[in-house]
Amino acid sequence: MTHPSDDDLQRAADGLVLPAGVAAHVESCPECRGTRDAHVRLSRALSAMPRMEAPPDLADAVLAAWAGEREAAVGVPAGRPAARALGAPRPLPSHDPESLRPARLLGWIVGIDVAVAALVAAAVLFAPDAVGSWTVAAVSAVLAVPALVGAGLTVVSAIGAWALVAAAAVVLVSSIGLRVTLAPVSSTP
Amino acid sequence: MAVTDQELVEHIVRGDPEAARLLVERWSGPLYNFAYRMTGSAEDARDLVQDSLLKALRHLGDYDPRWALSTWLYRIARNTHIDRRRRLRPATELDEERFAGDEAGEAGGPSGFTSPLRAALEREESELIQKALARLRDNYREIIVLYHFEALSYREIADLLDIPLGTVMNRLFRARNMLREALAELEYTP
Ligand SMILES: [Zn+2]
Repeated sequence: MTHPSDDDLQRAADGLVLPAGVAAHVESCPECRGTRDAHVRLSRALSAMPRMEAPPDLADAVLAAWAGEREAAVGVPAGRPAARALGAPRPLPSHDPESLRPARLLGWIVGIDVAVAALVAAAVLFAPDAVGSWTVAAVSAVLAVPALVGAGLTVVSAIGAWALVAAAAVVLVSSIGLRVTLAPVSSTP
Repeated sequence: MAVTDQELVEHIVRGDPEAARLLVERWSGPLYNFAYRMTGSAEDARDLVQDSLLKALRHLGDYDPRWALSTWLYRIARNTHIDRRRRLRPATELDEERFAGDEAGEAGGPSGFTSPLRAALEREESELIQKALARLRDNYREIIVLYHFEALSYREIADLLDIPLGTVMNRLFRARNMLREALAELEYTP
């Protein structure tokens, strides 16, 4: 029989059971036995390495650093639940949670625009004769301005959001004014 | 009965600082030995363990209890070591000189009933092995450290390194042969 591989001899040295035929060869072959025993000696030498003791103040240093981090996290105003800071479940996004939430803001923009559009549509519906195409065009232009300005500013900051809300409010009020002005005209036969 | 690692983790996540102390005290020793054998420097080992345990405490919520905590902790230490090594510097001959100095001063020392001569021989042997280890690439060194020094099984190492069992054995066997060659270059045969 040919000699088993060095891998097999290392397995034997690690205490794994070899197939019976291979094991029998190792025991009867001085060369293979020698190689296996050399592996065993290396393993023993490695096991005999002294264990390095951690410096006595290491645990305290870790705990102090961690306590500092927790305090910093709990110290954040808005009073976040302590459990989150302690457990640190997963890395939070880098922005502050109190800051602008783009999705929510977009909802406001769309909502306000839809409301204004509905009002203007109602005005057009109730006063189809008086509200000519120029009026529709003018209203559309007035509507487009805050929407565009708002969208641009949203990207930049929360201030943009408030500007948008203000702009939308102005449009809302003026469109109501428009509707009131148009109504008497439309009722005239 | 001692508190299990899993129980400690649950207590820490709920905000119990005493559990954090127990966990850190329990694992700083094994991680330090691992870190020392990987870096060959007491100073680097200390920094490595401190970083690793802090990372572990911060991300304890990410720990998956299906694995042993030891596996998770060694993995953090191992990844932290790789990151630091990439950031700091490649292995140099300077490291080898430091190994000898550190170990002579800090080795726990063999048990009391060995003779001074035997103690000196053992220390010399462990210094040579540490020197030879330092000559291996990280992935070969770590597998020897995990198997022989930290006494992890093939299976645990496979989980830790996220590699198949067969790869663990192949790499370990190659690593031992490389170590043997490195020891031969230092004119030492165990
Ligand atoms: Zn043979």
